[in-house]
Amino acid sequence: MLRLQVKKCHICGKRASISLTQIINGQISELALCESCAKEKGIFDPQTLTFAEKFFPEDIKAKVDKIVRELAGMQQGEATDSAKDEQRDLLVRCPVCQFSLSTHRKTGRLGCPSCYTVFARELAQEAGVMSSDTTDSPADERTELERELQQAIEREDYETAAVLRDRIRQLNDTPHP
Amino acid sequence: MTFEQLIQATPPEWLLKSSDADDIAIVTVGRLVRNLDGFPFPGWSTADDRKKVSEQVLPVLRQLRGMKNAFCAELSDLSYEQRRLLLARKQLTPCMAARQDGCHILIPPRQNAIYMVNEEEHLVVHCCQRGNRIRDILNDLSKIAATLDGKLNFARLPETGNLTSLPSEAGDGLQLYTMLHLPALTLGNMMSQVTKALEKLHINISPCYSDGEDDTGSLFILYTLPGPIDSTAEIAGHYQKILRQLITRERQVRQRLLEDPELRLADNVARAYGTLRHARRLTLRETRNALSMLRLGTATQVLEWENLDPTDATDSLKELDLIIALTSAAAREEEEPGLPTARATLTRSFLKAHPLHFAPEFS
Ligand SMILES: [Zn+2]
Ligand SMILES: [Zn+2]
Repeated sequence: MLRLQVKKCHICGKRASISLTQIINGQISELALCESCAKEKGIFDPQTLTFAEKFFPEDIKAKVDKIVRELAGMQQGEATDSAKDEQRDLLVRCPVCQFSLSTHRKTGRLGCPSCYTVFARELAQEAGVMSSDTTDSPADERTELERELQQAIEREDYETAAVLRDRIRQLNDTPHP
Repeated sequence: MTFEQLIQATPPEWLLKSSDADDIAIVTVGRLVRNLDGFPFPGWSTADDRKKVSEQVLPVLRQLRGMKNAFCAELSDLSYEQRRLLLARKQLTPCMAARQDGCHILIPPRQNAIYMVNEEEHLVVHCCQRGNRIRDILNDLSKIAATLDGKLNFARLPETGNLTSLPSEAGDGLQLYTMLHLPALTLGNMMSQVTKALEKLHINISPCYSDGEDDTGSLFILYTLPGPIDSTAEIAGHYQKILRQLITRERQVRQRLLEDPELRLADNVARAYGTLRHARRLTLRETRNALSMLRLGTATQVLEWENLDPTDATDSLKELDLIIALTSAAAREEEEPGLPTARATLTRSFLKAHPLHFAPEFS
């Protein structure tokens, strides 16, 4: 991730001076704000992130929706069925920091070092999918890429999103087995 | 060291001096990250957790070599004006600028490194060098890492390496960033080509300012993604090579533009010079773009200094750039009344004190 770039404020588009990398309602990983918007939204203390519930969902959802609309022909399946995970014997919450598996799937992040052990199976799966592109059938790969794309959009990582979108298009162009 | 002492001290070499007369690679930053075992990552922690992390990390940092008289502050004690000044001097990250209680910044008097506690990870160390002195940075960072390793209980797994809040970034915990001035590649519309070529190499390039409209000041950041465990030397070698190639490419394109009979380069430089020499009001964007063209013009000798040696001139332009950034940062708004005229006065008086003339073939 590029951390030294000066970003645009998500609210007014002016040059942002602060950037929050914070998990809010399991939704967002990065939010750039200019100082006046930050103050206006009462974010003098970003650690009390109540503002996010007020303005973030609509604001970012609109952007995400726009991108999703652009990705014509794609369907996102919500795979975060925690009951299903429990059946598959996966721990859905880290006992040390209370971080949940579904938040990881949405944000790509983890809550604490212990999460690496708690969610080891999930992480291994993710790593496995990434390193074995060639052994996966195109359909599996497409599903995985779509999930990664959704995560990238949620992270507002549009550069990665664009790359993933191109790869999905390439896959769609190749004939199905 | 107080905040005032830090700001008033002579700025560190990496912030003020250029490495070459053409100053294409401006500054390189190495970023080392570590987390403590047993605490939530800063993006998932409460102020209380953060305080506990700080209590462990700060005493160890204070004992490091060169830390005597360091500047140390809790973010909640820094005003937004102070944060903006540190941001403009690249001594604070945008992520850290948003932090408050339990988050600390330490800068040793030499100002060659910045230590941030509870940034995106528990401990983030930035080492800075002018130009592309990557080896110096890696040396500094590995010394720091080795010293801290024995004193703090860092979160690590044998196959994964250093654990980070983003599992895709776990591993060697190191990233390199270089700020590059690439006006010729920008003028020649070649940046998308460069970006595409780098995409496959684990190395990325992005505009320094994500304004989107145009590439402000032709400034870019070349950076590596954090690599897997034990990959530092390999990635750094790769990076160094690509960096050198990019610099060579920029120089080649400059040469080609210089020979262009349509005089596009000379025209751009002349317009920028006119703006900086005569404008009465300048926006930050205008100033940045014009200064970028002026630097290109003097590096390619379209413009020649009358009383400055080229290397001194490059340093002086860098200083002017910094003064303008700091002047703009000290203001409450980017276009606060008085600021556009102040910028124009700064550049006019600089060019009055250091006159330039066009090389015979362009005059
Ligand atoms: Zn704003
Ligand atoms: Zn955890």
